[in-house]
Order: sequence, then C-alpha cells, then structure tokens
Amino acid sequence: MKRGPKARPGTKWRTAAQERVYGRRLLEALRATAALGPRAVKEAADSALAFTARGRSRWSRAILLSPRRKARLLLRTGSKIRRGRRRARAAEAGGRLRGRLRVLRRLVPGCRKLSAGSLLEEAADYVAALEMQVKAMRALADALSAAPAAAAAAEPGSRGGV
Amino acid sequence: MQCLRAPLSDLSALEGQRACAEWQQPGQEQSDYHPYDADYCMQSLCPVETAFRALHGCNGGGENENHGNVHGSNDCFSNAWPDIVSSMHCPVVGAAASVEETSVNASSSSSSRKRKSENNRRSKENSGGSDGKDDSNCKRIKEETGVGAATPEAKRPNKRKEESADASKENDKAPKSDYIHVRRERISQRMKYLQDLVPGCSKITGKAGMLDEIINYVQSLQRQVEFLSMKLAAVNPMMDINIDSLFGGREINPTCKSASIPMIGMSSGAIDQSYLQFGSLQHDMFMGSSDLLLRPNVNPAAAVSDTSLGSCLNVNGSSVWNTNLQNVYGVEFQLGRGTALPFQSLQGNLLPNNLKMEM
Repeated sequence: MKRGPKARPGTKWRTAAQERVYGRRLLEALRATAALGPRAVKEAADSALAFTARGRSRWSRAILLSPRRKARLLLRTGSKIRRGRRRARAAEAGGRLRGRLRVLRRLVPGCRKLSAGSLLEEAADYVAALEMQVKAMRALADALSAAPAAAAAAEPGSRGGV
Repeated sequence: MQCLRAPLSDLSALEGQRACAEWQQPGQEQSDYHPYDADYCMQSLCPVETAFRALHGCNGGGENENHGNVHGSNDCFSNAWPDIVSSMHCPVVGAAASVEETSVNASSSSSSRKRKSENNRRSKENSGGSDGKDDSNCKRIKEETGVGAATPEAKRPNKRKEESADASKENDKAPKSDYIHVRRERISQRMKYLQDLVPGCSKITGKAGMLDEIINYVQSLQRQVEFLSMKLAAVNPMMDINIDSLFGGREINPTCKSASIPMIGMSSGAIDQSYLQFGSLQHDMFMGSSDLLLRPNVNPAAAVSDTSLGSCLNVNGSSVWNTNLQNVYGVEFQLGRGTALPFQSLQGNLLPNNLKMEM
C-alpha cells in the first residue's frame, strides 16, 4: 500500500457524508440479518464499516476478506467479551512497550505482523472508524426505537404484524 | 579469511580475532575499535563474506537505503580490497564503523536473543574474520524492523514503505544511526496523532501510558459496538414495521420478517437464506428508506449528491459482499463475480492487490 497524500483518519471518518454512507450500508445489512441475533448484527456492522473504508486500510481488508468472522456467527455469546478481558489482563503482564503493542495488534484486525509505525497508523484509522460506527449505530438505534411511536401515529394503515 | 590475513602477518590476525570476539559483547568494544588501526580495517574487510552478508542482511531493510548500504559497503570493500595491503581506506571505514558501534551497542541490548546468537554464530564461523561493519549494518536494519514486533520477515515490506521516503536523505550520510532516529520520530509522530484522536490522552506523557489509553479506548469502542449491536438486534423486528410504514405499507422482503424475539445462534441454513436475500437487495427503495430514516440527522443539501454516490457504491458493495459470501458458503454468485470488477477499478486496483496479499 503506497503511502501517498491522503486525508487523515480523523478528518476522513468524521464527515457527515461518511456517516451517511455507512448508515445506509448498515441499514441494508440489518435488513438482511434481521433476527439473527446481536452477533450477526455486529458482524454486519463491522463488514459495513470495513466496506465503507473501501479497503484502503489494512484492518478493513482483513475484515472484508476474512471468512472466519462469518463462522463466529455460530459461536456462543459472551465469549468475545470474556476474551477481551483476558487479553487486557495479559497486557499488564507483558513488557512495557512490546506487550502493549502486542495487545494492540490483536485488537486491530489484520495487523498481527505490522511494525510499530504502521500499527499506530492503522490504529488511528481504526479508532476513527470505530467512533463513526458507534455514532451511526447509536443514531440508528435511537431512530428505530423512537420511530415506532412516530410511525404508528403517522400511518393509520401500518402493518401491525410480522 | 586466512588467505586474507596471511600476507599481513600474525599480529593483525591475532588482534583481529580478539577484537572480533569481543565485539559480540555489547558495550565493551568501543575502545577496541580505533579507526585508524590497520588490523581493524583488515579484519572488517573480507570481501566475499561481507559482501554476501551485506546483500543478505541489508536487503531486508529497504530499497533505496539498501542500495545505498550495499553500494557503500561494496564500494568501500572493493576499494579496500586492493588497499587492504596499504590500508588506505581504514579511516573511512573506521569512522563510519565507530559511529555505528555506538548506536549498535545502544540498541543491541534491546535486540532479540535470536539475532545475537546469529551474529555470534556468524563470527565464530569466520573465526575472527567477521566484520564489525557488516554485522552492525545487518544487525541494525534487522533491529529496526524487529524492535517492538514479532517477525522481521513480515515487517520488511512495511519497513521498506516507511523508509523509502527517507532513503534519499539517508543515502548521502554515512552514519546509519539516522535510520533509527527517523523511525522513532515517525512513531512518536503517530503517537501524537493518536493522542489527538483519543480523548483524554493529552495529560499522559510516555509511550506506555499512551498505548494503554489507546488500547482501553479501542476496547471500549468495540464494547460499545457490541452493546449497540445487541440493541439494534432487539430493535430489528420492529424495523420492518417502521420501514414499511414509512413506505406506506410496501413490503420489501417477505423473508426478512422475523419473530418478535431475536434468536441467537441460528442454524447456518437460516443464515444462508438471509445472506442470499441480502445479495439480491439492490433496490432504490433502500436508498429511499435510509434517507427517510436518516433525514433528521442529515443536511438536505448534501443528501442529494450523496444519494447518487451511495447508490452507485451500493451496487458494487453488494457484489463484493456476494463474493465474500461465496467464498464462505460455496454458493455460486455469478453476479458477484461479474460486478466485483467495477468496485475494484473504483479503488484503483487496491483491492485486487491486497486480495493477493491477504489470501
């Protein structure tokens, strides 16, 4: 990946346009994975995020091209969070810089063998993307949970059953 | 090596061996390397071994800088080979080497045991003819790529990309210690940038604390995503109602209807079905629905242009996801294959290249 002049992750991900693009994708993904549970929703959201990144960053490519993430749909719930906690404990045990870099490598997808500099670059992009993802998902969740009241009031002939 | 030293007599051979053996212990040998010693120049200039090692060890560090290294060292060696007898090039070699030694010794303490044993083995093989300069070159470049990471091999391409920008200014300078400084500056630059990105990091100085904060922040963001995805999953059943009612009752996808209680861990068959449906969902209605939903948050002026962009990306996006799903579930998505190309061209061939890399 050539490092040419490009927008910084902070500015790139924080535009309203980017959030709209992502929100749209997220919505479609949600439609497809309706009633598959939070795991599927999260995978769909991550895939949507990675796609919105257009594969320009290593973590997004890792998400898009990794088949194992789909397999995780069938995993039991809660395992992911537990793993995260164990990793956090291991981080304290590791060396000062290298242990933490190791943890960061595991957190950012697709960055297991990156050098420190590239890892930090990917991490910056990933952090910005995650922020946008959280913002968009929160907005969508609020809109969806607020909509029933508004929709029910607005549409007299709305479908009641599913 | 023996033939090299033979014409120069026993004194240089003995001193060369001693100096070389001591060089393997970090932090001891700076006094041993006097730039103008004939024996040091001699024992560091075994052309075959050193050139070979220079090509191998230093090639991993980067493109231009490697050429600079190799050329520099080769020139030095090739010039010094006939000069070994006269030891005319010792000052150049020695001066460079002495500068290198300081940084090597400074950083060698952080080098991995593997690299040290490699150098030790190498030096023992040469029976004292190993070259301080060469080993330091290879060591440093390997260290640069290796510090703070697992495999030197995998890091070389990344290192190359990072260092190519600095190669031009590095080629002129003989001391190689600038590589490490440049790399560290780059890392600290990125840490500063992350500091701006991550809230609450402005007070923290030091890389370790910063990294901790970054890790915590990433974990908290990921946890938020999980929490929100749970919330969205709970809200999903109602989404059909909402969207349909927003449309005025049009049903988009009958099989997307879900039970009121979201089921966790559905069978793969069900997932297959939904993903297949997702693959066929390329309606403009979606654009309309999402716009309707997101309109409150959206600047209407910007929404128009974005819709067209989004719709064109939409088509390609679904096809890309189709391709992924195809890999996973073995379902034949001809559509995915056919329309994936525009997406790739959209990115300027970034994706296909990286497909090869990642896969």
